[in-house]
Amino acid sequence: MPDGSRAASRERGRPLVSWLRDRHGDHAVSLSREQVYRLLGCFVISVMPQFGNIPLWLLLATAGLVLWRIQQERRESEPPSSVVKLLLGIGFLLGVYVDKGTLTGRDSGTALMVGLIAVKFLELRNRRDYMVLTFVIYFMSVTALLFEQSILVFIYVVICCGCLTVNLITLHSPGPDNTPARSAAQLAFRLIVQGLPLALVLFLFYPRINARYGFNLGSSTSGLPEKIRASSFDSLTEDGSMAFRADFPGGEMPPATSLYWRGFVLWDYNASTNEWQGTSPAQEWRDLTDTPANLVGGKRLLQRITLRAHSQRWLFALDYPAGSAWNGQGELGTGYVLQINRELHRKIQYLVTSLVDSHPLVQSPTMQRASLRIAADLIRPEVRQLAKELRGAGESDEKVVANMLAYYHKNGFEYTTKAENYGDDPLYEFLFVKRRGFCEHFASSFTVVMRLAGVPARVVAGYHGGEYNPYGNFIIVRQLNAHAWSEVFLKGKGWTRVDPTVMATVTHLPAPITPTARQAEPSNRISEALERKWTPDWLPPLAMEGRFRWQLVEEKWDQWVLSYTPELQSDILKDWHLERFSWEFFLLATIFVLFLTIMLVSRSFQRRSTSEEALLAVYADFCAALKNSGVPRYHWEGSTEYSQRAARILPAASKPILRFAREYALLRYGKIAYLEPALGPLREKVEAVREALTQAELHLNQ
Amino acid sequence: MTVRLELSRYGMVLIPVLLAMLLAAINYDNNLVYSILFLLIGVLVVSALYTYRNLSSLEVKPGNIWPVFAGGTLRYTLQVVNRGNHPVHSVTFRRQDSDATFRALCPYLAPGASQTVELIESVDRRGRFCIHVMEIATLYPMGLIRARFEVPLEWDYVVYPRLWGDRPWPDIEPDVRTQDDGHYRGGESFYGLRNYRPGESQRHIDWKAVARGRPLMVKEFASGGTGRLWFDWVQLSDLDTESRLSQLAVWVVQGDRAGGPYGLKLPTQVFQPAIGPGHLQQCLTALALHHANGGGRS
Repeated sequence: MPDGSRAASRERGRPLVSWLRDRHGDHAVSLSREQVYRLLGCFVISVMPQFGNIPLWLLLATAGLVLWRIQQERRESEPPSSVVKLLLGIGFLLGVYVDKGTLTGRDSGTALMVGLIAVKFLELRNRRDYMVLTFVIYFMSVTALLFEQSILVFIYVVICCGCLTVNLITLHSPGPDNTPARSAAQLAFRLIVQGLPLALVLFLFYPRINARYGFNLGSSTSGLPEKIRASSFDSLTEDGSMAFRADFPGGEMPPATSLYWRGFVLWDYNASTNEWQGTSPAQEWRDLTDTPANLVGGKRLLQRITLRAHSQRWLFALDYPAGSAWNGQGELGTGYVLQINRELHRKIQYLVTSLVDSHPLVQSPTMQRASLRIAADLIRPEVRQLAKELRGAGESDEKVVANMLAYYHKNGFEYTTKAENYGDDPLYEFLFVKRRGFCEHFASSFTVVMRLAGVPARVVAGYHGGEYNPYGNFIIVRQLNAHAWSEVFLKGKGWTRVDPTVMATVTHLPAPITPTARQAEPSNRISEALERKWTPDWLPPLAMEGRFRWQLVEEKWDQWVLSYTPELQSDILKDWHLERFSWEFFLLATIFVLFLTIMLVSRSFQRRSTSEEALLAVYADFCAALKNSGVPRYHWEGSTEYSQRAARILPAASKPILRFAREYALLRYGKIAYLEPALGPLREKVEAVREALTQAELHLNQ
Repeated sequence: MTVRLELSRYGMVLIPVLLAMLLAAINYDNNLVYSILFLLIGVLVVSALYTYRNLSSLEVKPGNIWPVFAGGTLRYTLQVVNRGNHPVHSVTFRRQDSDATFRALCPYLAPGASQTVELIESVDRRGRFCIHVMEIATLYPMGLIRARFEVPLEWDYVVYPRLWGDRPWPDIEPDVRTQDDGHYRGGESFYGLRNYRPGESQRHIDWKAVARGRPLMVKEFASGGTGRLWFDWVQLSDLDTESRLSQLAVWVVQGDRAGGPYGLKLPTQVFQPAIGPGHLQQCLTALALHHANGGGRS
């Protein structure tokens, strides 16, 4: 036979629409419009929590591409050529590079991923693409947790993953009428719930690596600025977001006047820019004098602090921290500051002990020099004159400090949160002209004058006060609690905190523990009054109550999920007497839980009895009733023969017996599609037989 | 019956994504990313059980197989029963021991229900063949895990020679006419309608009736006038073996259609003139197996 005709005939034998061509999978099958829309929907909701993290232009471009894809679907037009897609991809790459300066790291990576997913949507045509896109969107929705670790975002991400799972199920599990979405959602829910035990065990036992490395974490700074100048806290005064939360496992609260949360120490004053900086000297010299042993007085207080990611290297603690924090990762450095060796990019929880109201008694000569260093010739003569006057005829350092505070008092210095317009020399202007300013103005001017007068002094940045939560017994410190104060070294007393903002002004800082530390301020009165006008009286207390409760939920969340560190992991294992934690153990535990999961799931696999079996059960019941009356069934007897024989022997119950037998035979051997509804009446017939038999028996006994 | 589970090709793509999540979790020391990752792993494991269950209650029995000529399309059916109390979704059927790429899909099967699944395959060689093993597989519920099992069928079938050749009939022997016994189906004039049976050629389906909403019916045709014939191997001595067999097959089919008795002479076998489907099948099978090395595919 000629080969040509053979080939031709093979061609003729080819496809029918309902057959799947590919031997490996069905990815050649095209997607329905609903499926594409569903995945687009999942994509959109997964991007939502990232709105703040992705550049606006990229969001707009992504929205454009999504709309384009919808348009394609509606018009059933062809996908754009690969050149267009390539150009779009390169465009996103360049755009992100220009915007962020890098293509790696969390911020650029997420932005890029969103853009490229949108491009990939344009060519989504078959099942394989669909699956790959779904997986990538899983990953993308999870990246939201790299930016924000709150309970709400977590729940949101779980919901996103749930939606994606439903999507996968609808793609692979057609129902009788081609996938009802509700049963797919049910199945997804069941899968997630049944997967939970395994997830939990993996979470508990998966060995965590105490990652001291963090690759390229490009991200924006939030929190205290590294340099302090006249208006550096400006942006923080209105920022009500949480900086950290502190609770006190010892049960003892610090006194309200001691809520000075130490951040870092500023040593160097740059007179020409009027800026304080100087975290750097702390790295240059490691001062051995700043040890817990050199702190005198004070009360020991244990704090547990949940610190939000601030992209800096400071940990906060009450003045003065006495020892390292975060399991030694936060080292106690010069000036009693807690420093970590990399920037903090996630929420952490740490325990730290402080000696509240103590003083560091000694300082090294290097520190002495650093705390007196000032470029006096760059400072206006009026300021120098002031310093000279404070010292007078060789007054003691203490007297100089008191004189300076008195100077603020006498001249009616005022604390404000409203930004003042300062000129070239804010220091001079503050001290002699405007006399109104932020805490930075007070701390800065005070410290400068002290140094000019020859008193060793430094600026400390941190937070002051906080909001007390009565339900959880913890304090929430917000960005608007950011504060700067001074410390002077007095002979015999050591380093002493002087907060000119509080100690010298007519309008004191509000009581340290208040929800809104800075709002008792004239400038805010108007807006407050307006607010009051539009909110009913009962709302603020209710809102406050709600906020306190929610804070409590967040606190528990942080405690259990965020702070599950390698240390806690090994602690728990120790508690359970599993110190010899090894890979073998981990493996065994996993296998055990796998087994448990299988058991749990296979319970739902157990067969329910079918209606035929239920019918047989009713018949068995009938036979049992007759056997009780002395007529057991012979094993060769069919239902009809048996009931006829029984009716003969038990004439009193013959009617119900025969009635049952008829009905049963009809159900058992007749062509009845749905047995279920007939089973109830049949059971009643068995009851009728029983009743007739008992009555006959009673009759006999009488 | 062993149901085997494996990661599907899609599942293979998921693994790098999960690894990326793990890296992100480790690098950013992020417990929440860990939890989502572990949750996904949990779902993956549980879904494997569902995949397994989807096949475990399935029973597959051979159904019908229809005669086929080389160059045509082999059609056969499997009877699939869901013995479990859960619906079965998205099961595909594929013959394992051939290079056939066709896969039949059974999208949904209610608990206790049964369904006939039809498979097709193009064939181009005559002879006796065997469907050894069918592979039954599913990707339910998420497409990440693939479960499959093999059903040994050992199911023989014969592929008749290709219908090819246009030689005229050999002369009809004189005593033929007396045996004429009326109408036989398979001619050109319309004879009647009967129900369509799965696996049959769709060429004679009465599509107009289907369009009016009636069930699938097949039109049958009949012809009058028959004769008694001998189709002889020797008559085609100028052709090669395959062409001879093809021509003989054409003649036999035409003879059957004509309705009269016909006989077949092969070098090894002789079939006395007779009529009817049994005779037709015997003749065609003899042609199919003529020096066919006992079948098997090469």
